[in-house]
Amino acid sequence: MPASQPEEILLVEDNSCDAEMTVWALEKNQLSRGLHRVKDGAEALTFLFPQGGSGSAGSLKAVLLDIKLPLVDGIEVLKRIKSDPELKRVPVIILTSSSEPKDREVCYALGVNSYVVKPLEFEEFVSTVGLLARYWLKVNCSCQ
Amino acid sequence: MARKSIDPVKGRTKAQASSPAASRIPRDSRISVLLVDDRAEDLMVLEAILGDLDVQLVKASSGEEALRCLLDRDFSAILLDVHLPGMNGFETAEMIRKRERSRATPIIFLTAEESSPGSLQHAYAVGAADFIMKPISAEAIRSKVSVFVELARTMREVRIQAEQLRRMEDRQHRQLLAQVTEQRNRIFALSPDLICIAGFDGNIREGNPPWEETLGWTPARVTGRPFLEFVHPDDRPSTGEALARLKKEPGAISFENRFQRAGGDYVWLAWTGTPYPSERLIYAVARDVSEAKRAAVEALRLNVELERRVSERTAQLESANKELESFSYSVSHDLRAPLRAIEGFTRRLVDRHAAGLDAEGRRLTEVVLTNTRRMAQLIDDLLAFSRMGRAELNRSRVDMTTLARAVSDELRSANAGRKIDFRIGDLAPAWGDKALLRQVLTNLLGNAVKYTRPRETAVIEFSSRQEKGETVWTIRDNGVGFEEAFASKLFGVFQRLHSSEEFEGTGVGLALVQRVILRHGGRVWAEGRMGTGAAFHFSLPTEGQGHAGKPA
Repeated sequence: MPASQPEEILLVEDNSCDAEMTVWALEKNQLSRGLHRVKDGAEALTFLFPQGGSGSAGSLKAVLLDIKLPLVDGIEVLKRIKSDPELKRVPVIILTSSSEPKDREVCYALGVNSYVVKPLEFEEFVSTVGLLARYWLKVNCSCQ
Repeated sequence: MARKSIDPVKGRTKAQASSPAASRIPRDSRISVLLVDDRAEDLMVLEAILGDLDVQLVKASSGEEALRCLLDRDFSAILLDVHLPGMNGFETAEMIRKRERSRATPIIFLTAEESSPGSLQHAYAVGAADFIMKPISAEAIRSKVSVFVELARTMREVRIQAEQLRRMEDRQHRQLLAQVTEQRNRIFALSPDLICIAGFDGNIREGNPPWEETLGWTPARVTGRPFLEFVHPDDRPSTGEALARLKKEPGAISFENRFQRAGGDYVWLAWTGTPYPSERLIYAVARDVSEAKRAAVEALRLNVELERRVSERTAQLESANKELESFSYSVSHDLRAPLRAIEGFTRRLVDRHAAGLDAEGRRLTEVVLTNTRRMAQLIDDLLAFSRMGRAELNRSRVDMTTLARAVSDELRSANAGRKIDFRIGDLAPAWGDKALLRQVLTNLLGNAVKYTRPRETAVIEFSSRQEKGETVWTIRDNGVGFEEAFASKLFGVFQRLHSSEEFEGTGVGLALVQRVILRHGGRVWAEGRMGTGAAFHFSLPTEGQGHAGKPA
């Protein structure tokens, strides 16, 4: 990822295989160039809140967030994003293995924009991630 | 005649005859007659005439003297001369009549004069009983006076009899009273319960022998002491309240308190007090309930202990449940992620690097992908099974016929190439969770469809019957069946009686069926023979019988 490329997608994913497959899916849709990946919730917060106090959206157009993460979990990251006046406008898509109704309820209560269970089938996974990225980056008009 | 009349009374018993009460009116005190005349010779004549009447004759020579005599005693008759010096006869009679004691005493006037209608009238007006002219006829005088004397004598006898009767009744009454008192004392002494008589002042008047047996107090030691003094300080307010109520309201009141024994320790007494306001007394009966109290305290302690153990056990179960939940969460997340990687990376290998793989390499990657899919299915089933155990039961009346038709239609279209003859009768409705029961029918009918695959025409019958307190549904097929000996193994998780090459499946379906049915308080069982089909039965409690489903 060249540093000059503005960061448009933040991928918070601790599983490097899942991360790599996500990259493949984005590549297939020519959307991987603005991707920034972090490995846990703490790194995500450092990226989103560089000054500590208030968040900075910058050129960010979407966050792909896993729930089960080391250090700080995805729910907490979602909570911080959605309670920040600037960051809350950035669409957050939960991309998780958990199909637990409880997790879904919590995330929607916190204002998540989409909740997607990672498909097990590779083909489906690639098409789902591609669909999501296309939708949130190209189709949907975000409140910028 | 009068004397005779008292004889039977007198002779009834020796005791009565000689009793001092009966002789209070002196038997020898004779009837008195007052003779009033200013002339001594006339008085002498009267005395002589009346001498044999057995009466006491008192003489007076003037009205004044006559009145004086009347102050001392009562007379049965008065013979009064009209002509008296000073106060004449009529005036004297008026005075006699004025006095309460002598108002009714018969007066016989004596006069020497020719009786003028005026004087006669006067005499009767002042209350004369009779009028006798002088010179007096001895016979007339005697007969007239004796009438009054007899009258007085009879009246006296009647009085004596009445008095005797009263005394007799008194004695009987006293005897009865003594008897009742004796009986009361006997009960008081024999009662195994404590009896206390206390005054409205709160002091104990009397206690019965059990006071000594139960409490060690001799009745004498408690008499006169305040009741509350013996009551445990903690129970004094409630006991005081009960005593106050007893003084205010009629009717018995029950109360309990700890009562001090002579040794200083306390026993629990259950009291029933009854007030007698007219006597300003409270009668209270008590029973030693220490044993019952101890038992109650022990029961309470056991209850608390039981509750503690139940809540401990509940907490353990809850934590076990939590553990299970977090386990299934981990399974869902942790097992899926590597599986997805295996699948994704293998797929990438096939897609992007197919050129580097020979035929055997491609076959091997296909095996990897097949097994990945199989494992994914296993994980999904296991999660569904785990979720089923935790889901709330949402019971309603479920039309099983409609539900069975819907499920069989789905199965028919999913197995479009096959000939399946579903024979669904009029099924009894169920009382349960519709979504879960649909899962049960899907699994059971699905199994029937699956295991009839070798048959040219699958015949699947679904029927129900009512039994005592429950309804039993049966799904019977003409499929491959199973070895009866393994029937009990069918419902275990991952238990399979056929290879997955022969019949696909993860071995979770029937475990799930059993779990749902058990949670509804029902039963599930199977029968079958190798090669000739299988029958699966499940029962549910009839509506209203429903015991709450237990988490399986």
